[in-house]
Amino acid sequence: MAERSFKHEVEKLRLGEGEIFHGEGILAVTKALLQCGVGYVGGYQGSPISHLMDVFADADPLLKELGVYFENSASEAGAAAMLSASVMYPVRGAVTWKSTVGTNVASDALSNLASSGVTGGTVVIIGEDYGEGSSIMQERTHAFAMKSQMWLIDPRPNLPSIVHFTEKAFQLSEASNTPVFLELRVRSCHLYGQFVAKENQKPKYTLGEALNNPVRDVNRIVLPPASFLQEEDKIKRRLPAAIQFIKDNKMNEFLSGERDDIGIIVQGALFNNLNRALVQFDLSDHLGNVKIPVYVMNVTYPVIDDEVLEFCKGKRAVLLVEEGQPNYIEQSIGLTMFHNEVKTKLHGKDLLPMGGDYTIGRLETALGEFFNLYQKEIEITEKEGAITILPEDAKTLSEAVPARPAGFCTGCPERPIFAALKLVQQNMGDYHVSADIGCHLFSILPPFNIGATTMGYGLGGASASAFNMDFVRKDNGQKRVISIMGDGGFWHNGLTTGITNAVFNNNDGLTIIIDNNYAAATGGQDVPSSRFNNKIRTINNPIEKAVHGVGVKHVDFIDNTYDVDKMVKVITKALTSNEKGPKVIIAQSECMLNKQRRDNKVKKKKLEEKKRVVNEKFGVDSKVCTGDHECMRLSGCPSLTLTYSDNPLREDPIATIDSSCVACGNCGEVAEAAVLCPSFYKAQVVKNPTSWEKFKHNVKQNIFSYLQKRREKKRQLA
Amino acid sequence: MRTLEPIKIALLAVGGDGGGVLTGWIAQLAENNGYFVQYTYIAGVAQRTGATVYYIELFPTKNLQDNVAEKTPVLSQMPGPHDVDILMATELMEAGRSIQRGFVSKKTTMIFSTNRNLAIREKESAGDGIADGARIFEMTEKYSKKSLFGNLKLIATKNGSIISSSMFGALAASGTLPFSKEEFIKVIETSGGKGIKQSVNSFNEAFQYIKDFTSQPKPYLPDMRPAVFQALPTSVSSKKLSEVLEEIKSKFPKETHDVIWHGLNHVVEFQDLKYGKVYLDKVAQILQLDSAEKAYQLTRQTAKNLAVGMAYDDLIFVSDEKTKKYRQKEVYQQVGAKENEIVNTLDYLHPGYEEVIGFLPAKMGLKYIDNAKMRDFYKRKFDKDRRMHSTGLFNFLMLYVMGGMRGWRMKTFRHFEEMENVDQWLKRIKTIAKVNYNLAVEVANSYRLKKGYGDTYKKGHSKFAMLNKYAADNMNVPEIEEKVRHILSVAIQNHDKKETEKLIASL
Repeated sequence: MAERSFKHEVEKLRLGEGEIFHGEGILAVTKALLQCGVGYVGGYQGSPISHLMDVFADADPLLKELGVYFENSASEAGAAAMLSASVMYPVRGAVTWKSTVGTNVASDALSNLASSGVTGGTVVIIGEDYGEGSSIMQERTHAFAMKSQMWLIDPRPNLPSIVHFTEKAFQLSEASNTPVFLELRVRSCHLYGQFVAKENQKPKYTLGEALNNPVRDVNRIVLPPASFLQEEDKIKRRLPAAIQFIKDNKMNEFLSGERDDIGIIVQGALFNNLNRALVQFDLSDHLGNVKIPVYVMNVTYPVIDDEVLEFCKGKRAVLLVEEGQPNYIEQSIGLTMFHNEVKTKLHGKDLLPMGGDYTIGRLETALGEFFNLYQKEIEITEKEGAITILPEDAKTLSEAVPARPAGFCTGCPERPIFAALKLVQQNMGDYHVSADIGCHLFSILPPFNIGATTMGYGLGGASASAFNMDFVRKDNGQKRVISIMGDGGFWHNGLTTGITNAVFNNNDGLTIIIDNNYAAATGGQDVPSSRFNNKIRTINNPIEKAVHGVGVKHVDFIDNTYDVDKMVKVITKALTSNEKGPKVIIAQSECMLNKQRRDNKVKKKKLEEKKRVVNEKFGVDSKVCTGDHECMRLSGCPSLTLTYSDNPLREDPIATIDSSCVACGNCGEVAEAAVLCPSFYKAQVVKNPTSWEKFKHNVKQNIFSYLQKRREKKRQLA
Repeated sequence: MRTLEPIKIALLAVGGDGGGVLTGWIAQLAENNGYFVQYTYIAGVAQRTGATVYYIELFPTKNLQDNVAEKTPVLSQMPGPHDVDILMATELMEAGRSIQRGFVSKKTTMIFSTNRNLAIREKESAGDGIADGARIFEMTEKYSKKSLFGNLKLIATKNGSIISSSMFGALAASGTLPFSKEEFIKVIETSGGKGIKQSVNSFNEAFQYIKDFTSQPKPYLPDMRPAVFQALPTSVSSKKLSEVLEEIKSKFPKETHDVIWHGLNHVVEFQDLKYGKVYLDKVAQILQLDSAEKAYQLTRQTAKNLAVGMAYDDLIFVSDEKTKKYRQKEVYQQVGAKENEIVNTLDYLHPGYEEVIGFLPAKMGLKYIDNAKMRDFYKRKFDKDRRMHSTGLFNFLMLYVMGGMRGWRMKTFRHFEEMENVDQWLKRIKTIAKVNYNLAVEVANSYRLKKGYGDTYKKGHSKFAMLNKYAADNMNVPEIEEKVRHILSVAIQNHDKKETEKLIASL
């Protein structure tokens, strides 16, 4: 069950011809796919396209109505391989993943797909996780498109454009028998806007028809000699076909301006930022009526040489706005100009930064320099209200404004695991911890500061494989390696690359599999070991069984990660035993966000029916807490925070728990396990209590009150 | 050409603030009133407690050709430098961040809540790591066109809503958007979300607050403030206490009354009046070395720390606290329960070896405290959590009896240890004060390092001991007080003793 439900919004996918669609980018793309008569969709979740997978899942009834097959692929490689359905049959397929990491995972299948070529239109919608807000390494998908010969569409960032280019992507794919990437930047995936809808189309050719009329052609299989022919085909037929289609359909835009001696070439997705920067120079308006010629590359690969030459004709200079590095487009255009002896001066990364987001501010600076070189008469108009922050104030701000690194949510069952690991390290010294991708990666940040490397999704185990000291006895002080793996990563590839490989190579390290029932980091999507309410998938396949199945002997299963004391003991045992072979701890507790969503519904219903409900919350005794903040360093729970004591003798702020507490118990458990302090308590508020409970409570209260008064009196007299 | 400008709104929010809801409301509001809306955000960041920016642009459709299919305005996905008309922040530091990120300029109206949502850095810092909000507030005044603020979170919470509703009310009242109050409310009412009534109430209260604010600006009030010492009362009801009150008035200078009175009450609450008098005697000894020229700094600092030191946190104290009426009230208030509701508590206790040995008579404790065999035996047999339902009759009685063992306390090993430590510290202060008054003040301050339970307490004590030894050994060195002040601040900020150790070694 995903974090965000699109059950309500997917109704918008039913809009017909001429109706106005209002919504987010990912929904718009889904609508566009349906308008294109897509036959099957798949993919693997990850920011920024997680919600696209959630939209697909929530739209399953509509997809079924239209005869569109949807699956949650096992990985990006699985998703890419799925596209092979379009190799021989004219059925349209689309898959999605987060790039560039997902593209890396998918690359084997993608290379094969690109070499074989496709019959039906195949589109890979990639969430380009680049720039501010990105959670991964900064690399360009462009490189992949170039080396495998796939076309890369990077459309202007507004919904009509994104929808239009989704349609064009299928057509281009079919016209050139080549799979196409449709690139959506982080902010475009969650871009709210509007576009005019068209009628949804049922697939023109169905998967059923394909199965009943199987086709095979050995020339489409990547094996010599076919593979050599495929390379020829790419160069001689598919690329020219693509170029012709792009030109014929005017996929790239020539915007004419008042001047013709200079011009700007821009990637489609960066057009809006460029335009806003031009507005600051009074060289455009908010409708995009530019006064300087602009060539908008909605297709960034292949680069259409004729169009570039056409644009450069008669110009003294052009500025290329190409984000990220290496500057592939600049290299390509530069070479074209050189070969054709074009005298136009090409500017790009000489005026713009090599890396990083091309924000409006950066573009303003570059444009200023560009105009200074060629357009003396253009003056930068003073920005309304512009003000420079004084250096001393900038310093104050950087000191005072605290960073807010992402962390575990309130009640997260992974927090106690890392609190336990921190306690283990306090007792036994530091360990090399190989981290993995997922929510658990937040453990590398304060307050836990655990984890040395992270090499990829599900690769926590594999990245610990060199540290195999199976020939050294552990009672002589030799430490073991610890690796972390999430349930999402486990099913993605961790079972084979981490666990099975450790068994096969007798790795004696410890792997902690963090099983919270979902791919939680990407928004709580189900995985094969999920446990609750999924009507369209088969779940409840325990990780434990799989681990035993591949031959792990030492498996500890903990079904309550909040038991910090037990976690500490189990981890300590696995690190110190002399047993050979991999040690696996499966630490299983449900993601609290998902659990709350389920439990709250039940509770609400019970309360409405006037049934007995117990609401739990933790608290801190304000007079018992001494303000040492040791609990903060072992917990980091967002609901555990500080307040000033009302006793001026205690000047350091004391712990307090705010109303967001979900009573997971982590703070109390940690206080106990680390022998911190006796300040924490769990309170249970009984709603609609039974008569017996009320009676008992009243009797107790009378006794307590009597005793409390007695003591207060004594205190007064003392 | 520049007359057709979109209205640019940036919203900086922290997890749980409902930034997405508020953004949706603004979009709906603008669309209802004939605007083309574009907004964007990074999903899922706020939820995981990070800070995030929602960015919205509103463009009047009358400037567009007939329909959006023909012409979509070219709007931005992130604020341009100094190019935001309305900057909203759901938290004070986020308001600061918006300036830091260059969103704010002299055309920007800032609407922000002064509440604090502490960052992990502020929380995990030992000592007081809470950032100074006043500095941020000054920046908002200095760099924006107009700064509208108040504790909007409090307004929302009071009305059983979340901050998005009060922010929306503040936005309506700010007059920065060309839409009527009724239009704003209509959006909430038709949103179909939960708690519509509460949201509207919260909206209205915030609206009124900001309306009043615009006609009569209010001063900035920090959301979190340390407690201050209250002045000495003129009289108290308890006869015995009023005797002591008179004693304080006659024996101690006025400048020290508030601290000493607080300290005395703290100590009496912990033990009894007799013990309180011991406290006063000890303070009086320090007073002899002090003077009005020094503003009685030494006496004040000693009185403050001595009260905390004498009221150490032992098993009897904890048991007593857990059974007090005050505690019961605090629990109800903390969990938001009504007086007539049933609230049961489960307390997470885990007394360590030192705490249990501390409970033994002094001689016995002295014998066992360093006994490895005994410690090992304890670790094996008794060292585990003692979780207890403190509202259960049996457990309550047990805690109550334990909390009443004040007579016993005076004989315990813990008391013996604490008193010895306090007396040595006072002796040290006295010795040092004769040589270097300012150094003595620092040493008096250093008692602040001793706090917590178990290992934390041990760490604190060893930092305290290191610093005291260093100060005593070097009291004749000129300007040593500066060094000691530095050591103290490092020791407070670093919970681990290693930093302090290193620093002292390096000096």
